[in-house]
Amino acid sequence: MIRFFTLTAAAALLHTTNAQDFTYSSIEVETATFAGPTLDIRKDDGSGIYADGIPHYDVSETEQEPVAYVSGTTPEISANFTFMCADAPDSIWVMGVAPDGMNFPATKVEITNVGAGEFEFSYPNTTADAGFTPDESRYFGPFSIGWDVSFDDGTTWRNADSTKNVMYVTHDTPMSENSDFQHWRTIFDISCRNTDGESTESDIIAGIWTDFQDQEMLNWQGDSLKYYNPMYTFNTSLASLLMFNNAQCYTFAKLFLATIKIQGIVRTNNYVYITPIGNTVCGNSVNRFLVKNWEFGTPSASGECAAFPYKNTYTSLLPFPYTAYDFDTEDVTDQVGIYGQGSANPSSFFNNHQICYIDGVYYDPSYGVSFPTFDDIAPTAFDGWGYRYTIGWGPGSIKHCLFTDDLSESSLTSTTTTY
Amino acid sequence: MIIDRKIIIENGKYHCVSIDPLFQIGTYHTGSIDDTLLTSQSLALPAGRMLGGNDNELAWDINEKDIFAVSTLEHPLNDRYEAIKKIPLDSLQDWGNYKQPGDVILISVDNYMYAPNDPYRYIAQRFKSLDTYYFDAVYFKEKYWMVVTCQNEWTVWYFENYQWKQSSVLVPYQSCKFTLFEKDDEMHMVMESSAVYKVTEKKIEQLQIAKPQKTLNDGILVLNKDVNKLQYLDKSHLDKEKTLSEILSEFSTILYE
Repeated sequence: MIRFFTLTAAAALLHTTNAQDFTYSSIEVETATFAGPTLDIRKDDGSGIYADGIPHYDVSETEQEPVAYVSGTTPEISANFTFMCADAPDSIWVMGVAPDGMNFPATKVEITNVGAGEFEFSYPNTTADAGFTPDESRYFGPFSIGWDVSFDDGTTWRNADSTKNVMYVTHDTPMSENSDFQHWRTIFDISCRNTDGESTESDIIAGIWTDFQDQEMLNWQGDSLKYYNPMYTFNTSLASLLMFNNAQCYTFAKLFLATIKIQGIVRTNNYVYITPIGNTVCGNSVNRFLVKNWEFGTPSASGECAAFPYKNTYTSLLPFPYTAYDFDTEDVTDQVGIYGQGSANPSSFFNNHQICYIDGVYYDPSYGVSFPTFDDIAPTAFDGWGYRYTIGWGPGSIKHCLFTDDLSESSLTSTTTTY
Repeated sequence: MIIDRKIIIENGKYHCVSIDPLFQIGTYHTGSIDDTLLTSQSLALPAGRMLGGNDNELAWDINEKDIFAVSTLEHPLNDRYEAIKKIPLDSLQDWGNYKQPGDVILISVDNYMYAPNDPYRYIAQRFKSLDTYYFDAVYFKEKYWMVVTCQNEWTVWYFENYQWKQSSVLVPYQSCKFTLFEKDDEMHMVMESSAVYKVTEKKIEQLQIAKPQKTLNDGILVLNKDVNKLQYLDKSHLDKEKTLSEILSEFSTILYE
């Protein structure tokens, strides 16, 4: 954003030291760079870090770089200005007015003539006169700094230009990165956007969870992050969800936990793998479950297994165009059921599922629902159990799946790790 | 591309597996040690492993005909109890024969298991938290061996005649990453600290203490059967411009001989 203004000769004459007759058509911030204890923000596409060797604000760019700090710290900034005029004073006072009563103090800087009628000056790296409130998560979309100048030693100030950058302030220092948790922008964005002004760990977790509950998670650009939409996705790393905007349960569980970790909130044993207990039925281990809704038709396999009499077979479960299961034969049919993130009918035929456990609550970020106890999960979300065996080898092999709609035939077990 | 856990060298050929950092699925690489690494034959491997967490690298081994792998890739149809796969080497195909990595993942999850993953089931039933769960497996003396550890308990397993046999619980060492290897007709284990142990069906016995200032976190083990040594390469030395034999002569250190 560039603001133009005209400084009249009369106003300029107020500046006794440099009283001249001149007119400025514009003062423009060319670049601005935040400094101090900033946090690195990774690009979702894996192409590097924002503001890596370049300013956070560059007037020639349409998209400005985001910036992040930890609460309780104090931002610093430097900026470079240009303006045109026939004649200019030797120096000028500059200050930045930021949100929440935060100011970048007035500083007298020298003006340099860089060409015919072209001048520039730089606001040196300066610490704000106040820091971010300790413990408070903040989201500034944007953090707007109004840059004011004075030609009369601070008696009169005029707004010259402004800089705007999205800024994230985390509750505490983000947890360290590893191969599947990195400080991607969307993690900062979801986390801070939903917890602006929150200070306690429980309020921050609750705020983040609110965003998952409407089953419409958006990345920082406003694009929907989808759960199996289309159904054919093999993205199980958080990086792949952020890169392709469509992924499996693992990634949504990690997404929820990552948005908590980025706030520096530590919870162990939070990543929960659930799967059937593997009880033996008709000589096979129960190793499949159906998430609602599935329609059970006429059983065709009562002779093979009375307890699991419904049978589907497939050779290729999800062929092109990857929008629906392709069973060769089917007694049990997939129906539109529980809505997932950005998906009316996500995949629902599973061996396992990944959820989160935090402070006594089971969260299922893929569907935006929570469960007070582990035992609530199966009866609330499932339509049936199954087992599967394969005949043949390789791509042409035929997979046989037998099902029951009697939920008492098996149950879930879980293991946890710390994400 | 992550080369996982180890490179095996035998009869002038190398064998290794890389894991796709986005899709977790594996690629099997083989070639002459006088070739540059990963530039010879590369074939889609219908097995992979989860990333993140405790980062247990792919437990894989090879014999004349088959590649064995404990496929722990995160996929809602991948059954951890069926994770142990024995895949004929002549069934592996070039990646060009598949449209997407997902095609190989789907083959992987529905492939036969070689053996039920009883060692994992044992750990999952015994411990709720798997933060310190590490394992490796090798095919040794016509048996499939697996060592698992969690919360400082270790157990040695082997699969023979379609049945698992299990050692008693051993508690000598803190749970950590480790790799099994064969040397001089005995099974050994090298910890991430670089300490080396002998493994039998009944016990785990230290043979060599950790080398000072040495951890194996950032490198790759080289089971060099041609020289009968366990070597180590820092991953930063896996130069694509040099042959593996050149890399080994310039940069490898000997962990155990």
